[in-house]
Amino acid sequence: MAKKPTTLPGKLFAALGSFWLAIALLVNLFLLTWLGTLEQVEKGIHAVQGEYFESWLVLAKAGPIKLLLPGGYVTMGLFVVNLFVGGLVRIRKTKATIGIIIAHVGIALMMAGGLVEHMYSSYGRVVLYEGDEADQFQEYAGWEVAIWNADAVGSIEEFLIPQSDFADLGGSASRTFQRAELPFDIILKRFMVNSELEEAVGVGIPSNPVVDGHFLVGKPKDKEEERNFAGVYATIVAEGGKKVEDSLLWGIARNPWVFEAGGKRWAMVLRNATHTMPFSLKLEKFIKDDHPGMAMARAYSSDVIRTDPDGTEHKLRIQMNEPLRKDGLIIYQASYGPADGKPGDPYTVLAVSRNPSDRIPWISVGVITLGLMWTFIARLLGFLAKQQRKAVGQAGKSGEKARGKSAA
Amino acid sequence: MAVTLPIKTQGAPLAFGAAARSARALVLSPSLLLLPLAVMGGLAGCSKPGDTVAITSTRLATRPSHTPREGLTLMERAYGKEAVARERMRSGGNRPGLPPSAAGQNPLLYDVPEGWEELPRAQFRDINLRLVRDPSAEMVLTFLANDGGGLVPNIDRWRGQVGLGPMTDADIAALTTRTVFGREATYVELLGSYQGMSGPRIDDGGLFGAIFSQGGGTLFVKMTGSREVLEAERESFHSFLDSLAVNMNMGAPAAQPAQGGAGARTSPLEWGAIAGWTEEASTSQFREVTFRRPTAEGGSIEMYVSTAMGNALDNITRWAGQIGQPPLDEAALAKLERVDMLGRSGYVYEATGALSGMGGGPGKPGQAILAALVESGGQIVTVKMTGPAAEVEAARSDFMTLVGSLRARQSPR
Repeated sequence: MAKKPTTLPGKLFAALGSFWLAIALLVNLFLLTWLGTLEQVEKGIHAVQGEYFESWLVLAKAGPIKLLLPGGYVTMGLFVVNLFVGGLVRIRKTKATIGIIIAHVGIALMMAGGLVEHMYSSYGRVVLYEGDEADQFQEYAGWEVAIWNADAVGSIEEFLIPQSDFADLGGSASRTFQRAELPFDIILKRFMVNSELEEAVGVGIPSNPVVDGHFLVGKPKDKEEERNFAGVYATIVAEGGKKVEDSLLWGIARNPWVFEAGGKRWAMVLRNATHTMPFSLKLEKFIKDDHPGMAMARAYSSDVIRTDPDGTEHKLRIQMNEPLRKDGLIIYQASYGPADGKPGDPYTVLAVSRNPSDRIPWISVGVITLGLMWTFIARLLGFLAKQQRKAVGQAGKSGEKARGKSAA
Repeated sequence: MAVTLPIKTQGAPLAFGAAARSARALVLSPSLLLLPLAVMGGLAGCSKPGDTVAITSTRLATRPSHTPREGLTLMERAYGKEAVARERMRSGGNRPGLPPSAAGQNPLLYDVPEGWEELPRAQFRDINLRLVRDPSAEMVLTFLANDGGGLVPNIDRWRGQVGLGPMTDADIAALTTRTVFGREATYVELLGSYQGMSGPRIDDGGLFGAIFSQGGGTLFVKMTGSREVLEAERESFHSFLDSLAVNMNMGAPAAQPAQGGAGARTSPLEWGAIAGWTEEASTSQFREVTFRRPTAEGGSIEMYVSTAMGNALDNITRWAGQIGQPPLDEAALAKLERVDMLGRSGYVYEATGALSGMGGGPGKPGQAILAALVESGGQIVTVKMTGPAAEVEAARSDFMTLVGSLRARQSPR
């Protein structure tokens, strides 16, 4: 065992790597998971995920009592420190602990994978009717304002304003956005995370500016993230500060706002954050196999054609538990369209996941398994050797006794 | 400051290399401890942007995520042009929140599919399209002010054009639907040796068609041509069906002299939605709108708004006759309940009895009429509800709500 530290940094170092800290963190993680799961019923998964796990502190609801607990950032941050200090640095490094160290390396790898996933992954969906082709997917939550030349042909360069740049623009606050390639500035204001479009007739004084007889009304955020339709007001200001036009952008809008500036037509839309895939998918056929005599799906799958950048086509089937993995994307069969979907029923909904650490859990579990197997086998071999030594010892003692008797 | 940590290994030396041996003399800087905190700080580190921000994110797309379209109103941009037009038709052009469409000249709004060209309208061809690459392929819309003989006979007629026999009960039960004008239309795809009313026979051809009935009128839409064309143009046909909408700035398609009937038109009146009732845009010459609600017995009860020439006494007397009640005279008329209707004092007539239809005949007992009527410049506007007496009584407040919601259209289109 390591020598007991006497200095303050040494004591702190020892405390950070202690077994008791690990136990306390595990208990806290259990409480976060348990209470968060209970609260998810009321608040929805995205809200609880943010409140309990993507936070420093959380006021967790345990029935009538509220508990102030360290949030996911603090818990996992300390876990990393604890693992590093206690499981890799302070641990006795002997033959007997090799397996434990390997297992700790596996856990550290899993944690690193989680951090990479948290920081760099994106999730979304792509909806395809039969015959439709798409090479982009949209996130379930999170918004962006996209601007592009409405007359552009071929490759279209979109200029993007992420939600983090305008999420704080409630009330009268506004912010100006500029880009050298754009012959105008964009002023965004009155962002609403959930909104509804209303006619400005018979409603008294509208709560927001009226555009084309309508205005956006802010609504409480829905616990189901997909049911929130953000809204924001936008003003276009040409060079020289002359206002060109203003309008409102609503997250559910089918068509973009089209305006003229600098002699060109521009399109602007508020949409869920959108990502380009390095290939396109075309839905050839959606297949749904119902339970006998029922309209309930037993299984469903999508026959798609994946077209790579070089133009080569691959016919594939995406179905439950058999996702398409390609270029860092994992595409799952997630859902399908209702009977009244259009145009051209039916449609498929594919969940798209971009997770650079997708394979890390597999690898880390392998490493942890190796470490544990090493430990268990070493213990088993040690035990067997001990038993053998014991047996040999006993045989020796019996022989001596026998010899003693015969001598007597 | 650097801290040398008192790390000591016990037992046998490690067998796996220099890295482990060097751990014996591991020197840690306190800054190493700050690493996880720095990571955590990075996770939360998002400062508030300034008043002016440069757009730094870009994305190259091969196609726009949303299709730019010219000349859309805000509502059309929000919900889609076709959806707004369909909603206008569904609600009789009167749903709050839907702005008037731009002025147009066609009685129907529709999109000509790519690769198709439009020909002049002709008898029984209210919309007349032809495929450019194969002129034998056609897309035709016909509107009739009546049921055109009925759904099944018309589909059987289409089946006959491709050499198929009449439908069996199983065929009828298996008929599919598509949404046209926001409502269900019967949809068929028939393949065989196609011979239309005119033109050459197409041996390996067929017909895709949709039939939609409402308010007494019937809309027939069909695409004919070779099998290859039909298969290739299926999506075009569907998109054409999806694009169909009534141009509220014009009369209905059935207003064409060739058909001589009456169809959907812009009403001079406006009214509010009635909770629990389905609103049907009327294509009848006399009805402005019909509201319908199912009854507990599986039937339905309806109330409707209509306009006509005439006076109150004659019309209320006619209603009395329909329900088996004695005719009214001026004195009886003066005693009727009154109601505010279109800014005037209207009459309310309510009676129960055996109700007969417009054509006379034996009446259906246990029925009721609840009607309101107002006279204005030689015209009358009536709101009338008929049905089982108990149902009519139960719906009285909804009826009065409809009467109270009536307004003259502010900007005739």
